[in-house]
Amino acid sequence: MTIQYCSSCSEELMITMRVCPYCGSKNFSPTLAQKNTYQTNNLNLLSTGNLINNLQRVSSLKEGTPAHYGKRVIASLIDTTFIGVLGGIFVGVAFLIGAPFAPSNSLNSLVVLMFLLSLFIPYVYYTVTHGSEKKATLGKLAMGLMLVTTSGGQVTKVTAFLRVVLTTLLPVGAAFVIGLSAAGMLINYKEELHPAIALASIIGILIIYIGPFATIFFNEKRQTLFDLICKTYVINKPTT
Amino acid sequence: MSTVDYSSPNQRTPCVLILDASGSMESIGSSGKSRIQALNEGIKTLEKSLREDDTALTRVQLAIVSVGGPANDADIMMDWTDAINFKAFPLSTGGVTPLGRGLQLGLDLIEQGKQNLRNAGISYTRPWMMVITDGDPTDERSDWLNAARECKTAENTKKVEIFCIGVEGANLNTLSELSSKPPLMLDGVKFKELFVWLSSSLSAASRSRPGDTMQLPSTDVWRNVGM
Repeated sequence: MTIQYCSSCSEELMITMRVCPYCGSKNFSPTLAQKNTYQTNNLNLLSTGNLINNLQRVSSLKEGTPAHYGKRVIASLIDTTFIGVLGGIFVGVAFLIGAPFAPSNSLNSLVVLMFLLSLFIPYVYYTVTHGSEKKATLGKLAMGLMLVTTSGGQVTKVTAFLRVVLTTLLPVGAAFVIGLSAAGMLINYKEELHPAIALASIIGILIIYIGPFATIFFNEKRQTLFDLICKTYVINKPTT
Repeated sequence: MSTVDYSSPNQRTPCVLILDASGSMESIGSSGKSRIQALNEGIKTLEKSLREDDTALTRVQLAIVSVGGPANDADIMMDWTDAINFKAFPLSTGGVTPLGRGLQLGLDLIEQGKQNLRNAGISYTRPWMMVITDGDPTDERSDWLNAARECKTAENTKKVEIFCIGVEGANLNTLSELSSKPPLMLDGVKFKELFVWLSSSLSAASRSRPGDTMQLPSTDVWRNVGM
């Protein structure tokens, strides 16, 4: 059988191989000697332009793989800032329009209404962006990330909505339950707020807030609890 | 360069394998093996089974298109290769699942392979295309639909016989768009059993004459009958 060698990883391959199954290279050499020469030349030329090309290649190999935690945090900060600014504009415009008609020392009902409506902005924002063809929020787009199903497909708007609902409401709901428990203990024992109760509540709330996100350190796809429930994960955006 | 022996007048049975090597194939099954490990063992089994069958060994031709994998694209990983020259290799995972593009490459390979055989005056049975995936295609929806339509047309005009095998996580509704035969679900990671079946089926096909109808072995040994 005629063979060839992968120019990148030296593996011996059938002559009909078009892509090296080991490293993904499409460069082959007919002999091992030529392969070595090729590698030596590559090393000699590694100094400037080739270094950049190699870095780009390493970067491209990460495409489609689970996104790094740092990138996700920055993407989340961008999204949160955007939503905050958008909400501020929402309420601000309502205030400017409604203020002249408001009785003194009272909130205009239009402002209150717009404030309440602005609470829905995250739900609309994450549902529409994650469920779009881009599969990404503005933050994720900026960081080259996208949200896909665990099988790599498009996330539906229903799943995107469920994910944002869980992300926002589950920790809030759980913290509310902890707060109620602490309040219940206070009433039952008719005591001042004991430091132990306060500490337990704070730790409980922290666990509830951080726990769902901490799961990213314990699974291959770096899924949060909400990703696990919704069968989604965040990946580095492929260029293809 | 080719490892198809066009000087051999034996009738050929071409088969393209469209194999999903996307990141999700790293998932660990109940057996404790990842899907890609099981698939790689299955490919070895295919080589072994073909080598145990003298007729299949000289008549079956294989080509492999990888979807995802280290190159993170759909690519012709292995061009047409006679079974006698086939040497199993392990696939590595990575990237997403551009299955539509993989199908297009598979159809192009089949046309090219048939043309080469015709030019060499070698007869062939209807080519097979076996698609194995555990995920949803990540192509643009319009690209996927075009690819699926082309597959269905090729099958309806008897240019190719398509078998779709879903591995846990596959969207069978989507896969059903590319063939008139319903996709089958693999039971766990029974890739070895699947490839033994494929080898036996290709062997039966290679013994038939062009245009013959044939009875394939039962799929019960690897198929998830609960689906």
